[in-house]
Amino acid sequence: MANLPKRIIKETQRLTEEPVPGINAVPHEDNLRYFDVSIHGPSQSPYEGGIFRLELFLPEDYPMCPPKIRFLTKIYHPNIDRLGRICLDVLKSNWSPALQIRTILLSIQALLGAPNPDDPLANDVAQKWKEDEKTAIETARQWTRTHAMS
Amino acid sequence: MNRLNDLDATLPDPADWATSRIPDLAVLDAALRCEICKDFYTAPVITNCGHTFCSLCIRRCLGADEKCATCRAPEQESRLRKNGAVQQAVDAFMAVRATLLEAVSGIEEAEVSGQAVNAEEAAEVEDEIEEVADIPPPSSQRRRGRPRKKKADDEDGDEDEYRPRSQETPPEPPKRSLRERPPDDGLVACPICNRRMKEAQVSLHIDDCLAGKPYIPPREPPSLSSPRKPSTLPSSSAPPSRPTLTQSRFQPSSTFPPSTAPPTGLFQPLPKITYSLFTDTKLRTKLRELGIRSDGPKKLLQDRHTEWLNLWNANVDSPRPRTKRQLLDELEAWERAHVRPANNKTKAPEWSDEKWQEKHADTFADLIAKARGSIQKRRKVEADEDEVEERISGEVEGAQIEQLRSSQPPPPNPQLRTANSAPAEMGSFPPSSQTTTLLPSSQPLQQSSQPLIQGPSHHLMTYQNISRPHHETIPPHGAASLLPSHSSANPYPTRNPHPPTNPQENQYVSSIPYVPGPDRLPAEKRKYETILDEIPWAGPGRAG
Repeated sequence: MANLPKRIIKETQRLTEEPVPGINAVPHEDNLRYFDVSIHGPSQSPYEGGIFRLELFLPEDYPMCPPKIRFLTKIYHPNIDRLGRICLDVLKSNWSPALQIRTILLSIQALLGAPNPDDPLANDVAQKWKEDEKTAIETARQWTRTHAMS
Repeated sequence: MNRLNDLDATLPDPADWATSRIPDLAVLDAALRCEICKDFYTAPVITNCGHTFCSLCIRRCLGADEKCATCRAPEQESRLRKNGAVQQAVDAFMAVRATLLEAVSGIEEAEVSGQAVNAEEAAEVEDEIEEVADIPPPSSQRRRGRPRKKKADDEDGDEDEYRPRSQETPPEPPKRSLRERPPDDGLVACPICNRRMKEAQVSLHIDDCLAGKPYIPPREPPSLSSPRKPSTLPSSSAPPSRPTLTQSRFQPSSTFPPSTAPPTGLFQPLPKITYSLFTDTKLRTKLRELGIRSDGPKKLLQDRHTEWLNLWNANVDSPRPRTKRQLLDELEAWERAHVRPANNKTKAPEWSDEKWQEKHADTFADLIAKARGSIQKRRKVEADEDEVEERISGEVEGAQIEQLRSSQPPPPNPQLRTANSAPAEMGSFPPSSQTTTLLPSSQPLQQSSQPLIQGPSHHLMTYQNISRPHHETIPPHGAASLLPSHSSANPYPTRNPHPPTNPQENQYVSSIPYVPGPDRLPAEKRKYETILDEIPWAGPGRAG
């Protein structure tokens, strides 16, 4: 780890010193490229009150390529699939080296607040979301209670 | 976290100002940092869309995706331009940063009040430098005495005018305030006596000027574009003392010593190449021409070449270019950081084959002992069967064997040895294809030396095929030594270690029934074959 880029050190430092409200990211002691992340469900969303765990990994080419990030906590969301993978443009085609861990995590938090069933990753969830939004939101709330509040 | 904190202590950050008496300086600090590396700009360049990055950062970035890192507008490396103004702002700010930070940390109240003013002044100066660079000079002053029709061209940035000022003498444009802007006569001022002359003469003149010699303008035919000769320079153009003053303030001579500016042409930007048009060999030659390492597979050659181009071209943009030696060191560091770990993703950073071997020595010994036991058992059974068989087959066949043996001059044992020692001499084979497939192709296979059992076991692998519990067929030498499972692991895939064997030999070996005893391989060697047959390989290469 001697060759950990300055940028990663800086970002980690900022994340720990000035954490974003509702977001917590801590690097592993033995691998400073691997972060344990927890995101609080945004208020007025079906995920409110839940604390969602994610894992985040900064690949070798970071910041030239986006961080790899995945939900560990089960979540009912049209843009997050069963395996916790996230459909988010800034994590894929719209990644830019000017973005950073902090901004990405904020984007994910925003995604929780604003699900986008028109560009789904979990098709079944998206279908439900479109057909009967009320029930879908209730399911999401239910899942949050079951999986993200223990 | 401890390690992280140790590292943190040395890293300046915009947040350093948050606790100072002027927290707004954090904005200035952040404004002078590259978006990509979050560090102060190094050789800043500006994109077509107007965003500034470190030359190296944006070059690497464009290599991955040809878009501006900030606004994602399409961008190309060739369109990047140096941003000298930002470079100066960064240099100036870095020079005072520590002092400034100390001054505004707000402990000694009495002292601070005085210094804070300086600090603010310095900050303003920073702004001014940028401002000055951005605002186009009033044309009325610039165009004095110039043909009017040329003006339109100049507004668009006439190449002849623009280039020399921005590239050859980067410190010049921003170091004067608006009032003192020099006449745009295609000449540059000597930084010492402020006399104006052609750029080519400046470096020569500086030596003379320092030595106190007067400037002698060269005799040249008057040109149409610059009707004024340096000697007839009107004294009103700029008071000589002012620019010198400002210059000494903003341009510490240690930062931009004009005499140490590298002669242009020493570092020329390198062109990109299309790798698909290059064969391995051609690319290797290219790398050798550039004076960088030329080993490894093509992918590595490409990556190395790209990185070298990035380093080199970023160095061209730098006002203080480093030597080629330094660049080579940096390339070496890149190689260590990017190539090795990528190849050993499954291995922990402090992995050591030796330690692993030591740690599990008991387990290995156990396995070896077990395997040894089983082969002995098996051999015993074989021996018994052979005995019975031989007895049954009768004397006739025995005599035939005897006859065959004596008719073929080379005894089987030495033959077996020579045939099989060939691969053994070629170095160690990784024990199984499984281990080797896990190693990325870009890593030379020789490095993946067999980690667990060292010594004789390396080459004993080659006996594997002969060791089958067979009676009737020892495969021909050629077949026995082809080592199908290792062909992928062969570090010299194109070289056939086993020249086609004499058909006579083949016939001899394959036709002869199995005879136990001295003609077989020595027991010492045989035992490894079975060990390796029985141990499903679980080397560190597979470890997660």
